[in-house]
Amino acid sequence: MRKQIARAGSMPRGSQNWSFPAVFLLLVVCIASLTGEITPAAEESERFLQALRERGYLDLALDYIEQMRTSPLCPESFREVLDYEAGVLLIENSRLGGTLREKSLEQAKERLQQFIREKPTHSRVSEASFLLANVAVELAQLKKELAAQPGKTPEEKNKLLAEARQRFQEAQKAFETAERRAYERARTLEEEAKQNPRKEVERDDARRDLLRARLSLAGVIYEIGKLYPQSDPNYRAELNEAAKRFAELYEKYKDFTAGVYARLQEGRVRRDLGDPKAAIEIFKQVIALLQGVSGEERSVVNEAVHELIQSYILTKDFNSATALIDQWRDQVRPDEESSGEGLRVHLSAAQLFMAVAASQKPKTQEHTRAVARAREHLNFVTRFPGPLQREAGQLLSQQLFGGASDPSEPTDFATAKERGDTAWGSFVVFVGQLNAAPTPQERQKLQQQADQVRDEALRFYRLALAMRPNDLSPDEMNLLRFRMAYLYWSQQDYYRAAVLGEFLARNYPQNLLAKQAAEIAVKAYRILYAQSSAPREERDFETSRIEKLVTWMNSVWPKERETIEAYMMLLDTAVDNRDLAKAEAILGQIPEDSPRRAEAELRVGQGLWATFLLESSKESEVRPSAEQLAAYLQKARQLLEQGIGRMKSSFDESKPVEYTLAFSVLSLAGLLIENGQASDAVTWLEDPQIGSLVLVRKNDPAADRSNFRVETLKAALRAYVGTGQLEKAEGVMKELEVATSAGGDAAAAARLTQVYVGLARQLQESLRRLRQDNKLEEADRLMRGFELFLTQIKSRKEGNTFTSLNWVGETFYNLACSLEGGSPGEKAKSQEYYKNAADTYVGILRRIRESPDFAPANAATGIQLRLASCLSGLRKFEEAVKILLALLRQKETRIDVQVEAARTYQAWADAEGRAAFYTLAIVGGHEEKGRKLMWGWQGVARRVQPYPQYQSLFHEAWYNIALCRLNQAQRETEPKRSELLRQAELDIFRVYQLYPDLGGEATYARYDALLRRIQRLRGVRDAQGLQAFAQRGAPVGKSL
Amino acid sequence: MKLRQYGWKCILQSVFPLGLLLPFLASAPFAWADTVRTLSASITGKVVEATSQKVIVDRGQGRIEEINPHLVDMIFFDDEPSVLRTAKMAVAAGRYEEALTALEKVQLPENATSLVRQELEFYRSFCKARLALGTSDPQSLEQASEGLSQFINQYQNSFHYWSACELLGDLLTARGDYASASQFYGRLSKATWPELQMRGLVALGRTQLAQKKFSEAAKAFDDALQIQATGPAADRAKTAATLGKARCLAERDEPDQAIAMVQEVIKNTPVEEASLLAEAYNTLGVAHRKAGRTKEAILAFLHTDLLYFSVATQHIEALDNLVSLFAQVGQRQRAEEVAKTLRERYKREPSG
Repeated sequence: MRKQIARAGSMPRGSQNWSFPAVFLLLVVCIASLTGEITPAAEESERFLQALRERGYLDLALDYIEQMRTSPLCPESFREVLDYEAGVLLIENSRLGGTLREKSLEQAKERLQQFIREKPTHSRVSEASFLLANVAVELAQLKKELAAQPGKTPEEKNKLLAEARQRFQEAQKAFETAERRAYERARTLEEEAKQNPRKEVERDDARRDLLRARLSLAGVIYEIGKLYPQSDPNYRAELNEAAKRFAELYEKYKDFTAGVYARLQEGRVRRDLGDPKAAIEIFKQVIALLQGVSGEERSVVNEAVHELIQSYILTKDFNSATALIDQWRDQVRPDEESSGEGLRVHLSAAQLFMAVAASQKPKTQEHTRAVARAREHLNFVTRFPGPLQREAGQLLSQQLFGGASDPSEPTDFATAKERGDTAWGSFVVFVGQLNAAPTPQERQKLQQQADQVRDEALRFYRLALAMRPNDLSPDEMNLLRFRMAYLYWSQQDYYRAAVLGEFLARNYPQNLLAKQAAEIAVKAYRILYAQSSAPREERDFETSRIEKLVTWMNSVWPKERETIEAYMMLLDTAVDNRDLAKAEAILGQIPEDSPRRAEAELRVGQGLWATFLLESSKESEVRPSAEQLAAYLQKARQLLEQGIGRMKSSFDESKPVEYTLAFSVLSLAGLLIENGQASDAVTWLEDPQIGSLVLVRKNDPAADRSNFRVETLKAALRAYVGTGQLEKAEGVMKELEVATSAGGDAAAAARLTQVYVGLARQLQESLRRLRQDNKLEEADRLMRGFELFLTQIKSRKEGNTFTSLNWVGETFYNLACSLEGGSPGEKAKSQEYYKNAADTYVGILRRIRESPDFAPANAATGIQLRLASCLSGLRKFEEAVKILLALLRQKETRIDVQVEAARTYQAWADAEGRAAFYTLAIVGGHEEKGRKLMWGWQGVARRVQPYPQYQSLFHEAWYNIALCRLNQAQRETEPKRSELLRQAELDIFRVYQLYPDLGGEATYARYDALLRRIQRLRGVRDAQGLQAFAQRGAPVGKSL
Repeated sequence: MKLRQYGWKCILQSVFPLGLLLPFLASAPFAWADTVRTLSASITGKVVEATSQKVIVDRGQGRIEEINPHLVDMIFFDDEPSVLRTAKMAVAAGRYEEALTALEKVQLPENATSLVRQELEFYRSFCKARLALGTSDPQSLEQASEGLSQFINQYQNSFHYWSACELLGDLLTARGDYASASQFYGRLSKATWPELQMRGLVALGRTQLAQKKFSEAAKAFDDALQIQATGPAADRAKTAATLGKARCLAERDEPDQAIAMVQEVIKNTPVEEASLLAEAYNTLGVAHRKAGRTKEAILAFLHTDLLYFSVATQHIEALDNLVSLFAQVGQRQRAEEVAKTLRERYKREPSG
């Protein structure tokens, strides 16, 4: 009678790819923790641990083990095996699957290694060694499964396969150690058993361990071989070695079932070596050897039948396969048929008949018969839940069987769910294939297919829910909920995705999918926030949902990956809401060692920097204090440096730089430049690994994102000028020209001009800020640096283009503007810069006259406009007005000229206190041919009002109307003064009534500051600015 | 006398000596084979007296043995019907339903002795009481209380008197009638023998605990511990008193002291003492909970739920705590499962 090596029941999950040693793993796990002694002490540790395990409280069992480490109640014998027991539990825990699988296995490995290390002579070391080897196998399997997932790039796949190979090799070493140990033990016990029959049981155990180790070793070698491509010589080498070992094991142990199993394995290997005929003979032999067996040996028979069918399909021996299937069906018992191996036989049979059908002409009797038989086998498999059910369902949906799923509506829960599951399976596959789609057309096609099956899955799942039975287990219910939440997300129905995800997470937090469901919910709420058209301060619903959910997630799953992700969403929301105190508090919740910490720091740092820029540009009445602004800046710098430092420390030079990092370095450089620390900015820009300038010059992919290249070059230019490295600055100017002319088109010059204009304005802002923060030395240094640079450029004999000279003029102009309201010394400097700018523009105009190609068409108008601005700055208002009126005569509708004209008269009125000029600025003048040539601010506002793209200009106009009235009022006496002030307030109120947001935060703040001044001058004690409008309605004394 | 649940192992230990002795006794001049089982031994002979003050066994050849009644676990009378004997063995094994079914069918012959009649009455009431305590069903508790009270009134001199009083006290406590329970426990605390006094005081202390009168309870437990007594019964009572004291410490916000005390008890209590161990782990659970150590509290109560669930009152307490503790750590599904057990097995709603 064949001796059995007992198998432990149904195959563990994933065993179809690693069928053999995993069987033993289950056996080992079952017996491993039951062989301990019953403790005489009152703490019944083993019994309690077993009870926790049986109840499914694996997490608590692990907690218990940890508790026992320091508990005075722990029996010594149990204390010795704590790490071993923890290892066993963690292996069980990994069987629950999901994202915890790898982590649990790694932890199991650590624990078992620790046990072996610390207790080398303990009786369980042998078991622990086997377990350790099998953990390595499971980890290898995991990597193999990940590599097989759709959507992986070839590099990712190869990396995972290499990792799998490494793990299998670890397992190989571990099994070799186990084999050596078992061999020694068996040899010793052989001798002892001869003298003492009571040792026979131990001897048999040792023999079993030896066989187990050898079988496992052969299996691992087989697996290692399969990881190589078939064309790789290692593939054949490893498989040959595996076949040889299996053959030896069969020869030595043919009286044992395990020996016959080794023969079955040898058959598989032979087939994989391209010798299906040899494999067929082997499988037939196995079936014959196990003829008439019962019990667990039947599963070996069924495996052999399955393998034989597969081999017949390969050799196209359909007749033999059909005969085999018919014979099997006659003999198989019902319980066997629905076992894992039985279902596999049915699936193979279906595949066989599908191959038969493919070999026949369609619509022939043979074809129809083959299809019918295939369908019959597949329908059988679909009755039993599991991975094979899904596989069978997907095969049934093929065209061969009539195409898509049965069009009739399901009438019960099981059918509805099954169809939903089939659609879900297809959805997952299509989504996986999307990433690897080679062309946009292919991608579009896959997307359409994915959308279709997604909608189908949702429909069937909704139906299933409506028909669910009362005794449906919570786990099944929650799986449906999770999938639906994910499908809603894919459908962009974020509200439903959020509601369902949150429900699952909060009500079933210990469910395996709870964390992922919570992650879906919080991200969905975040998208709802981002998509909301309501003003930021009114997005309370989304903000509060995110906050509450994140707080709860932290209470249940502190420090878990999903909770950290949720905190990132909350942090983003806080930054968007400009609630930086909260953002900083949230940052504190993200652990220092979290992989997201760096990104979080950068986000908050950028938020603080943006806030600094916004707040510092506000009018003095509403601008925060210098200390507060300095605090923003300091904190922003600290966080940016910290975040960059973190990312840099884990930087892999072989990979491209992440855009987040590259952008953050640029932001930091910008901050430093603004803070007058140009040399620090240069250091960052030139960092050999992550410097933005270095990346741009290396043509790193990050440089192609958005406007990164141009912004980097602008920053570099400012930094070099700020540090007096003028040659480098000139070099960057050339690079800027190249960058903006990349398209080679005529608009390139205009782009470059825009860049320079933007650069000049940035400079103006920087200087204003530096002065505001009383950083006079830095401001001076910056100014002198630019002055020197600009002069150098201007006075070049060669190489100057319209664009470069225009930039010089523009920059001098902006420098002048920035110094206008300063000290007498600064005012004098301002005049000097206006003069330089004017000279430059005159020079440009001269060159245009000499050579019309020097500048783009119509560029002269813009230059003249700027010249007029310079003249206005130099208090030469009359000359300025002349130029402007001449331009208006050419084209009255030039808005920029109209605006400059109004501005000029306003400045003239301010300078000389002439009321008539205020009126001209406001209402326009210079009638010619019965119409006002100059519109004034009111005319400008009226004409641009209908056009959303001119909204900022509209507000600029009305702001200046109110400002004109205020300034005029200050020069008048009563009652004119009061009247003007009242009128000014009314102007703002009218605009507020039409546009309560007043064009956005920045203009709102300007209006607010202006209104407060007006209110104070009107004698309002508590000048509330625009808030007074919101509360009271019309200003006091509305009637005119 | 309070029956202890030694389980089948102890029954065998008591039966085998009997089995071995019987052939010897058969040839002895004395043919009578009453068996008096105590905590530590089995004594055969003729029970010549069995009252609330003493049990006297004539062992033949002039050997007379006197045993304190509260130390008697069970007496098997030679002349009792075999059905009654079988039922009593089922009681000893904790199979109360089976025992009661058999006892209800027992019909005594007209010449049955008063002792045998007492046995029948007592064990019928005893089984009903044990079953009522197991389900905590109010109606069953009430009926069992009446039955036992009737027995006590009718057989005040029975050697079962003390265990009947203690059991009635337990029933009344389960019904919330602490005042009446205290009266019956008080009878034990005033008995002649120190072990019985200890048991009475421990029971009184538990009643005080149930009413959250922790100071009074602590005093009762301390008084019990002050009593000088030796022997297995005294040891059990001391252990119970220590646990009671530990519970008082836990409830009075000295959890760490309570924990140390309970750990010492657990270390020294044999695994067969399910009732004491259940109480110990529940006390440990309460102490950890008071100290804010939720996970440790869960593990402690789970000991009772998973290992000592046969002790109904303790199991109920453990389940009740687990419902709220699981909910506290966000494990709602587990909380629901435990609540379901509480409802289905004990017809109780969680208190939290």
